Amino acid sequence: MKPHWFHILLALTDDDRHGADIAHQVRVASTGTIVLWPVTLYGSLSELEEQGWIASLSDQGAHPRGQSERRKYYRLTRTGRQALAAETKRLGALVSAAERRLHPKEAT
Amino acid sequence: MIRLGVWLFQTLLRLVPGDLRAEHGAAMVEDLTGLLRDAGTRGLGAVILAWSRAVADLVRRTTYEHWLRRDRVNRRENRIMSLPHDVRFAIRGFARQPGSSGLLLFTLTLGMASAMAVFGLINGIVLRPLPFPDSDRFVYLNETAPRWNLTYTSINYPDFVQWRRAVRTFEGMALYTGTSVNLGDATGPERVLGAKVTFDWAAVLGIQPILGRVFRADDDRLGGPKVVILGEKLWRRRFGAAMGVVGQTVRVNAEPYTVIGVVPRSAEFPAGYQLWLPLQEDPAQNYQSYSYEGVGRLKPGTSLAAAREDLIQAHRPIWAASDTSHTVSPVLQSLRDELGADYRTLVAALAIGVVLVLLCACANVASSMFARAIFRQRELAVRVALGADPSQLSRQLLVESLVLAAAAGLAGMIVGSWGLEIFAKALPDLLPSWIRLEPDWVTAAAALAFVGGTTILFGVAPALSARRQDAGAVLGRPVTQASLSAPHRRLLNGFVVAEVGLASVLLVGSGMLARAYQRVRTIDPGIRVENALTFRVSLPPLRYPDSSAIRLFHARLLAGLEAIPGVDRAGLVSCLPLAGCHDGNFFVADGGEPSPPGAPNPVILTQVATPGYFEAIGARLTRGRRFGSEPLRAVVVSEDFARLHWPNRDPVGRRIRYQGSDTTRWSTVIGVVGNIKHYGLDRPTRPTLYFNTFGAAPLDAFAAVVRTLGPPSAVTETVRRLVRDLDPELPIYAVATMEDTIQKSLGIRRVMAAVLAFFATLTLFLAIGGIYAVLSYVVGRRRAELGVRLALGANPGQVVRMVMGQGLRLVALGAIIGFPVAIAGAKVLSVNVVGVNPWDLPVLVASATLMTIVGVIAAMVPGRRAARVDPRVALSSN
Repeated sequence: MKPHWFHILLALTDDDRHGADIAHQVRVASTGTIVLWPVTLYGSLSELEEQGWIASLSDQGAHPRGQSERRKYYRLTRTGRQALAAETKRLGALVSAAERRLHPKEAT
Repeated sequence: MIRLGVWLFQTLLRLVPGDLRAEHGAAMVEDLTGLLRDAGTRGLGAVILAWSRAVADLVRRTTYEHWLRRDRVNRRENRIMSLPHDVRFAIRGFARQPGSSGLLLFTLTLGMASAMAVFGLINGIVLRPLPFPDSDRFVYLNETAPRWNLTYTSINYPDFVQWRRAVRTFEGMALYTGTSVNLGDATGPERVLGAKVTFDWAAVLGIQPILGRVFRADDDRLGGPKVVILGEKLWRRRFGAAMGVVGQTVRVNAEPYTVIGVVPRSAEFPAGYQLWLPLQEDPAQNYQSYSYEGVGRLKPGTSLAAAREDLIQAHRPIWAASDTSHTVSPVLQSLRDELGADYRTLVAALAIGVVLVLLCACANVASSMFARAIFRQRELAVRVALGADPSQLSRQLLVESLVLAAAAGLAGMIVGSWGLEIFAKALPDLLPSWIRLEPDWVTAAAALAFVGGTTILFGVAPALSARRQDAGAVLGRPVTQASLSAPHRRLLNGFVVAEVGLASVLLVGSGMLARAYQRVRTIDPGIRVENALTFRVSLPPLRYPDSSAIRLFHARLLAGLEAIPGVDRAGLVSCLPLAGCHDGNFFVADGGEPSPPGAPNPVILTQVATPGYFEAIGARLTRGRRFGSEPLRAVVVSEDFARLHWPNRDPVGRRIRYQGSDTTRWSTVIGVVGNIKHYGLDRPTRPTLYFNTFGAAPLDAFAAVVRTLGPPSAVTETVRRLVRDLDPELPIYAVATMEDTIQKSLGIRRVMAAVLAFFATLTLFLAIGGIYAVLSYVVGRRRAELGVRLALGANPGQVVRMVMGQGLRLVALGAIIGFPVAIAGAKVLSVNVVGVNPWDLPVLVASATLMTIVGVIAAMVPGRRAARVDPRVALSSN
């Protein structure tokens, strides 16, 4: 999975968010190492929506907590959550495999 | 700033695929605004950084998004033909016919290159700012005296002092005058072109010294310190760019001067000065000396008219005090206009010429493109029949034109700037030293405009013809007749007529300019031009302090010169013809009426000459005799002078003296010489008076003329050695033959005539090509018909005549349009260029003959091909 997809999905795990909010969350969570500039952000959101991993709430006519109606909110779908979980697991496995190679004594 | 960034971003968003933009464009813009605002709290740099990253992201991601959609585009190819697609298609089309495409490209490149070269020249002379800050605020200052028959008198120092005190719209004004100095030090003497300037000269022009300082008010007073400022070029060449040069002593005109500063190249303006001395003029001088030129800097926002009015107001006290009849008044004009004045006609003529060339190239390419479009009628018709949209087809054709124009524009820009460089290198004296010819964004913009303009000119007709497709009609006809409909033929003929017309305008115009040049060249200059060598010498006052020392040098120099084998006669004069100098004075004749105030009082060119001068320069003696061993106060006058003072009477023996001073002694006229074209062959002469060197102030700066028996170049080295032997510290300068001086004075004319002749040749070839192409095409189309004619017994000669007649008709039509235009243009030209005669019959006849020959040549080959059509082949090819 592309890193920024992963981060977008991650940003949506706890709450429904709009584009700028997602970008902000990603930036904070990655301590500034990943910045989603507008075109990439919305391009990726479109892609993820097409994949069926996120859904935009305006399509369903529901806006959370009386927030701005102009902004489109996104929610993680079930498949999206599964994809994220699978990717996390894969990354975890990758990390521990790497750890074992790099620090053999500590790992055993 | 943020709004500008957002706006630019919004503009760039158009690159993003439509669906993505429609869905998220607004949100993208909104987010970017937020990001930029955030960055704004961290300063401008952060905003710019954030914006650049966002744009970089846009570009990167957009490419990817388009790539994502590539399949979708292909699926809808019947609806969307993207621009890159059209361009690729056009290039493939051109590549399929490399010969004819290459010819088109070549033609158009020639036109573009000419246009770019001429535009580069215009840009350098007229448009580009002068090489100092705020140069649009600079004005040229001078004084004018119509009553003295002088456009510019140069500026009187007390007048300038009064102006400087009283003006309100100027930030500053300064005087300058060119002066040629002997620069001497351990490495030997050298002649350097310098300027004497008022102290505020550097402040007015905004010049910052590289080393040391510029002049202070204290330097610029009568009897002030002997200080000098060096130009960067001189400093590098002669002083090895030594940092310690400031404070050193150099010998200027054999006197020690202290170097106080070095100024950069931008200060060389306007004549390539290399060294500056303070003017040190006396503000209380009471003699009427008009010697300086001025430059002023206006306060921001001041119009020329306001500055002019201000200057007149400042001058009023002078009129009130000493010049009640307003003989002399100040003049002011934009510095740029003044500096470019000599080149105005050249620039205008070349600009018009090159536009004609470009139009002709466009007509040529248009007819080819159009013929191509007709050839492709079947292809286009098939595509329409299969469902293509005719508007797409015309767009396709327009893109083809654009591709061609862009390629030619690029090539033309390169070739054009080469051409201009070669042109400028070949004629170093023609262009002013301050001109810069490198391409800049203005030339780039002009190139774009040329590309756009030519595309419209030659691309629209074929594109429109594609729109009017009647697929059924085209496909229903047999191939060979695939229509040369009447409107099509008329359009093609129209292009040819236009080319011929443009070519004949240029041909007649350049012919007239060439004739004008020839005519001016044969104007009698009043001197013998061939076998005359001239050079100049200035004697430094320190080593030649009095008239006896100067006269001794004169005598030794003349004796030495005349002793050289191959030298016939030698003479000295204060100011050579065509050297650009002028020393004016006013005289009254004994018994003549003093001219009433307000009456014209033409200025007299006042020369000082040695006895041998008239023979050496080859002036014609018409009455009396030349200087000899006569009484000291003898003068020789020109025919104009004699006519001015003693019309219809013999001037020899009559007396004259300076106007307005009753105390000076009378001088007696002993001879009359023919008028000499002192100011240029195409300029009027002025009445002239020659003092004998013995009767006037000693001639410490002078020109020598050496009349040789053979080619003057043979004695040049001997002459140099002679002067070196007489005084090793004395450089001789401006060594030139009279022949070269005359040639140089006509440089602009020669270039104008030559470049226009080149343009005319170019268009002639284009016209030949155009006629040839159209006739061949027509003959090709009519093969079947011609075959029938020949089969039925037509004489091949008749067929040839028919085709050639057709070609000549086009030529005649073009000429009928072109010649009157050319004559009208020549009428305008004759106002500015002496020697142009709009009804110059030989030129008109020669041009008409040449156009006819061109028509015959161009029509010959297609005509012969038509006569050789084999009826069997022609009729069976259907």
